[in-house]
Amino acid sequence: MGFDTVLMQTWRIREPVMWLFEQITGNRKTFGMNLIGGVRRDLTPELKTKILEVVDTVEKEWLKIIDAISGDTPLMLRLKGVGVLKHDDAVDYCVTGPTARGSGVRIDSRVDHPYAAYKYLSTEKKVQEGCDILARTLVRLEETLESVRLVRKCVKEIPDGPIMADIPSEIPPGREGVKAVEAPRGESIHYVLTGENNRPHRWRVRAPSYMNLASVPVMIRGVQLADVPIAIASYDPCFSCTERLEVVNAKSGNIRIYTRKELNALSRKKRDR
Amino acid sequence: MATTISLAIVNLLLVILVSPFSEGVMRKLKATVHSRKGPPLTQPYLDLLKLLGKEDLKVTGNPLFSLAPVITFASICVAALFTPMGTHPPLEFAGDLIVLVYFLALASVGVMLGGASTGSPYGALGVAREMMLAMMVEIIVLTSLIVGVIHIQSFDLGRISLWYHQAGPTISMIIAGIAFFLALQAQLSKLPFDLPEADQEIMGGPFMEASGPKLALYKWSYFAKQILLASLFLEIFFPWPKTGIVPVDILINVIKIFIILILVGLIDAVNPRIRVDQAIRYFAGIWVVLIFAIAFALIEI
Repeated sequence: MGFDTVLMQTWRIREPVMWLFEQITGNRKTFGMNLIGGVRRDLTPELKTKILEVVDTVEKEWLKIIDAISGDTPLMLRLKGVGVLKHDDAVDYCVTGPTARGSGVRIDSRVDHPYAAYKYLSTEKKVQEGCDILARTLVRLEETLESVRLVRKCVKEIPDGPIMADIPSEIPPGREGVKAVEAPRGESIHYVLTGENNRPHRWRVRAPSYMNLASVPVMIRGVQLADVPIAIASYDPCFSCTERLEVVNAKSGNIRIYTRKELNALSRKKRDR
Repeated sequence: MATTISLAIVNLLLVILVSPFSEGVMRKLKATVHSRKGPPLTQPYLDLLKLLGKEDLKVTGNPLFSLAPVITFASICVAALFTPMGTHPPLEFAGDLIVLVYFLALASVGVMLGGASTGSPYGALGVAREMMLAMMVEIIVLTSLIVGVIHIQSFDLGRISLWYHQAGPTISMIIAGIAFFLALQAQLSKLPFDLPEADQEIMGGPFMEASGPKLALYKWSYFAKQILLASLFLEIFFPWPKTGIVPVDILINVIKIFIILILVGLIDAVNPRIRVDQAIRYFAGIWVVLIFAIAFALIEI
């Protein structure tokens, strides 16, 4: 809705975090840190103090942002009671992450199915009962503070020891693994089926946007056009995560779904042109 | 005659050549609020030059599409000649407040024609919003100016400004001035009232299909409108200080214009866009308050 000031300020706050990422992993965004059995690089003591410093400033600035957002009357005019996704609808459409928690659905796979170190961290579920865009925004704002708390706790309590587990033999074929991980947008589920020669045979990802996108028709039912973009943006869409394609013939209403082979052929045709 | 011509040249120079600079100042201001570095102050001039040098594309055979930017730009330029900028308006012998308001309305109509002529759904939405907003905002602009008219029983803008400068602040003019300032934000298509353009919602609305020289003319008339309306506001509702020496007065007015535009830019930077129904309710409220101003003006306070 053209409120660039908050966006730009949050980007300013984000920048030290990106520098930190670069120092820890060597990259700003695509970290390439996780390996089968562990991570690639260890934290040095200097980095630990640096992380705590950055996290402190982020927390301080973030509290200011929360103050600015919750005290802004025109913003409340636009966000309150708009893009409503009722609790029952949220359950029916299986939405996840902040979209669900903004509608009062108490799910968070970090707490419900603790993985990695989350069982030692006692993560708190941040839930809002408002069911509107404001509630989803507040959930995100509070979750950032929760993340700050988690990072601080992790850095202080991380035990010493090797960063990689020993994997002596090849991974046998035909084994399956499913894991739900709480990403910023919600529950991201990965499924792996191992194959021959120490390779995965099949790997399927269900990103959270795929579930959340389905709830948009409910959110935007009966609202003005001006509210549609913010309603869609309120669940933080990742359209590349929802890469399903169907082609509808407008005249006959026929729906046709392309297979992977056809899509590959199409993109090759485009490239060769 | 010579003074009329030189005043006309000054006014045109202000709205045509100084206005991109004021836009540059506003962009820099917005960048500062965002903690960004921002483009250089001369960027709007470069933008206009680049756009004017581009190929003139036509998305439709409709002659209105080519004509609309010219109508908009020309009517703003003519309106500038009826606006007091530091001293009395150059063409005051030819027309008064009503002519000025007509030319300002013609500029909005130009934008609407251009937007509607392409058949783009985003353009149509932008035009619908512009119309809804213009209906409320132009009434407020006219009503607040009429408060001054009631005081001196004349539609002559130069004389209203002169009278207010000598008579000092009155309650009715202060109320009208505040109302005009609040409407200014919508007249200049600044947040929270930039609904007709609304980049994030309808992608520029009426300007969506305009490119090259056409877009340059739209942009230029939009910059010019900023100077014009800010000057109108200052001359009618805040004519102090005045020295009586014309060039100095013009300079003072330019400085005041920049201060007002910085204020407008700040409001623009700290507000989200509101919905059209909310905007209309807001302006309806202002208009009700303006009726009080008219009542005060009738009993001359």
